[in-house]
Amino acid sequence: MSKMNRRDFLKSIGVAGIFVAFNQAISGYKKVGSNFLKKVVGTTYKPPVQGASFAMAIDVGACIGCRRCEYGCILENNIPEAPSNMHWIDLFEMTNETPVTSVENMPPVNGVIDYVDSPKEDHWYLSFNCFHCDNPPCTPVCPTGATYKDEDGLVLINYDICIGCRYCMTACPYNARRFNWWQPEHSPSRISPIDGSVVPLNEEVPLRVRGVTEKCTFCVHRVRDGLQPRCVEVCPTRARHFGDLNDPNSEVSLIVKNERTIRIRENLGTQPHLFYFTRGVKWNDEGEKL
Amino acid sequence: MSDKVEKLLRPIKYTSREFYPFILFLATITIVAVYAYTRQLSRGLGVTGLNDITIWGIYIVNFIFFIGISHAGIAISAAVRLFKSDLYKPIARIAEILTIVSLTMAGLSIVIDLGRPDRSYLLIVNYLLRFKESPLIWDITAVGTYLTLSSTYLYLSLRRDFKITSERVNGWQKKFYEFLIPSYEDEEHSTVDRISFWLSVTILPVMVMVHTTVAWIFALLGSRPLWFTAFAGPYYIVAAIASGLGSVVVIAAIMRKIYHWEEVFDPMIFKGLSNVSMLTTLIYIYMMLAEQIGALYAGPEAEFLVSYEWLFGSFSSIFWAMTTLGLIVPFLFLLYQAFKPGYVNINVSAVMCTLLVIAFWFKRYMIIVPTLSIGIQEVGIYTPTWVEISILFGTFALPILLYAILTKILPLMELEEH
Repeated sequence: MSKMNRRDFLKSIGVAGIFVAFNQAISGYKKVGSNFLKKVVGTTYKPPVQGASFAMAIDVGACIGCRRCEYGCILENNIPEAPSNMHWIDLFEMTNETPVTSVENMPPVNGVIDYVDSPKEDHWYLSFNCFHCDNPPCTPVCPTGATYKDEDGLVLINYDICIGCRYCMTACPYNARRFNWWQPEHSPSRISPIDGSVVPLNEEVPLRVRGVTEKCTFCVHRVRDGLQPRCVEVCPTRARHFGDLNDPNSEVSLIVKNERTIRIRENLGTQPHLFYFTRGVKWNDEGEKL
Repeated sequence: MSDKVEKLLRPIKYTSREFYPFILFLATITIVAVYAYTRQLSRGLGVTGLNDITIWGIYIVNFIFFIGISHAGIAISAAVRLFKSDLYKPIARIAEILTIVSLTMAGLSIVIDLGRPDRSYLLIVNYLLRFKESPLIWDITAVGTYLTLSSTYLYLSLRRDFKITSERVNGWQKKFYEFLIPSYEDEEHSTVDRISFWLSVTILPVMVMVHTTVAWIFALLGSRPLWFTAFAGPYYIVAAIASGLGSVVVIAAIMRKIYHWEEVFDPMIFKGLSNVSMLTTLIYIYMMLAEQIGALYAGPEAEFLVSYEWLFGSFSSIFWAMTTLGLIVPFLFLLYQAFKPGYVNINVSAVMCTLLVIAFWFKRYMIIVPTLSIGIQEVGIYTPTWVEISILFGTFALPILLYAILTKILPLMELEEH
């Protein structure tokens, strides 16, 4: 270290300069990148409700497996019925011997998804949609940032920057995500299987394109306006409950506080926002309310 | 000396009559695959056998497979340079070209798998935002670094040989090779050698990371049985070394035969490569045993179901055929060859290594598909469609085609001793 000649000195200045410039470039790039994205993106959601943490609680004893939630959801969220039979809510028919805690696989090994009559004796019904986890495994793996967790606890997808790698689908422990394997087809007016009425396409929900992932949004366009999700609204037995966990007086908070609730696959540390509980069976074998 | 150079340049200067139908054959398969892919592009990924349960299939299998194959090349040539093992020098470049070709195919497989390949530029636009979280981005980084370093390495070592080649060919070929070496100086060897040395020092750890990050794509998903293991990195690396060296044995044996390079390739090269391949296969069988025992004996329900499907269920025929024919039989032969002094049977070694490579493709199939199809009824059963099968054949025809064309362009060995 006897002496540093001018050339070495200039070299070190140069290296330091390049380092600083690189950092500057990166931070500038980050800003440019996100601005650029905002311009490209067409999928927009309403701004998140500050301080909220939305959650759902399902009374598996009250559920009669009528699947009104499933069809209501399909109509509300413009889910294409053709060419693939897609639905965001999965409803499994389980035998009485299957405890909820044994649901280690998605979909449950003992669950039957294609059934005709319900409710059946010695059966119960388990409903899955996106669990909107507090610690979602699906969002960090996304290589483009298309799926993200918003401030009010909703896990959402930006359909415009999804590249369709389906990594989030393999990461999801609950098989909540669906892929547009084909070009989705929409008819402008659809007939509701619930009451036979004609339902037009919902303008508040963006249509998806072929090759992107989609899933339950907790009806983001409704809940951010203070409404209930569609599946909660159409449930005839009031098996589904929705609310804000951060509000101690909301329905969900009271259920979580007062009832014995479980969540599916809690061992994975995902902290799902879908709670299951039961207040006992509420219907007889003929499907009549007790 | 000059005779030797002539002999090594034979693939570049002369092309046999059988070469063209062979190229045509491969090109036909590739064109069928391109047609299948355009169909997938225009109609959507629904033309494959994939569904919302079995989300990934043959394309991802191909991706892992080609990343595995790519391991042999630079590993061999970096080892040649770092440990100065002159015995393996003749095959170093053959292996390097294999690395470049198979890395290209791995990247292509990922693009084929995308639902929206038109948006893949977003991987670059959002790179810095996603780098800290997404294992897929880590993998793209590792593979990109690996491809850049290894192609630089290959090009640097090729410059001198391009020069020698350009002196020995005429016409447009001469112009072509001179075009490939801009600002070539006769004194650059010592600099190039120094750069290549440090490149090979850098490439070896990058190579380990490449396959580790590929393993992490799967091994970091806590909910997927048999993917979520701590030893996924070593497990994948061992498979990569075994299948990569196996494919180098196959390619070198074919070259030796068709270009009559019997005295250029010392038979001991084949013995040495097969020995490493044999040893890694043994380690791999051991790791597989460890994995299955864990899943079967104490496994949670999901692990148990997948393992049961592997060993006794709907995937058992693939599994047992792969294990016995593809792993144990080659292993036994290569073991026999390793322990019999002075005995090398190159032809049988090549056949056995082919079996090994095919077995490792099916092993990757076993990694991906059973895990993604457990505990389901009709909905998740995955059968590849003709689109996937044609693309599969295409992704095997295309690298062979590329390789065959590259043998006509690149000198396959260092033409002059230093």
